[in-house]
Amino acid sequence: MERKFQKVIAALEDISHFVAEFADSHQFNQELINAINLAIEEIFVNMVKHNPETKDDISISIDIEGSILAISLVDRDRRPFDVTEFEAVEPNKPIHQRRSGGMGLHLVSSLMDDVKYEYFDGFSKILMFKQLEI
Amino acid sequence: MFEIKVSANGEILLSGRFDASQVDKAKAVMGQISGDCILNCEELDYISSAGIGMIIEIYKRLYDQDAKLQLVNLNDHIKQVFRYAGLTTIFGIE
Repeated sequence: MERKFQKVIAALEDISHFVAEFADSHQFNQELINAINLAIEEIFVNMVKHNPETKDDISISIDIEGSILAISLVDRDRRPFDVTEFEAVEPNKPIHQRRSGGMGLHLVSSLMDDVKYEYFDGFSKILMFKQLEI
Repeated sequence: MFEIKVSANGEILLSGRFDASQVDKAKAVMGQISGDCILNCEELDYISSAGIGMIIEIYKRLYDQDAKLQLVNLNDHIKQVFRYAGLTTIFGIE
């Protein structure tokens, strides 16, 4: 299931409806729905904030491949920027000693089993995978 | 739909989805907090790093003023997100 969303933060509400539509058709529980929403939001917001040069819609797809949930977000990007290489927050450090930023990526890697980055023909693609309990 | 309001006893009530699109709305209320404060999350369904970042910002500001920010009535999903974020000890979340 794939859909395009305007590259603005306000699109998050429409994205949550998209996730709910997919989740309803597969009878996902609320914990999984929240995990999907959170993972997509963190990557989507990252694309909106850190790649403002391009205004094209962001394409989001959610699929089930066997027992694996596969999520991808594709954003037009003038140069490769591998968000998965960005240093995530250090959750064991005292709050006053943590640098700002990186919390969202840390949450994504906590919720998903695998996160990958691809760059092709001027597009950045983030792929996230999660083993489903069947 | 995210809502934030102040109850009669001074608690801040959060409800719905606290995502990145709601930060300005939350800041308008949470930015006014001074002194010890309770955030009641009983009706909060969802929070992302944007919401957590807002709460951390308020926590730090109050800490510098020798005041405390307490989170109460978190559902399991919200607790899990705080757990992943390494924030359970600081907010006394079990």
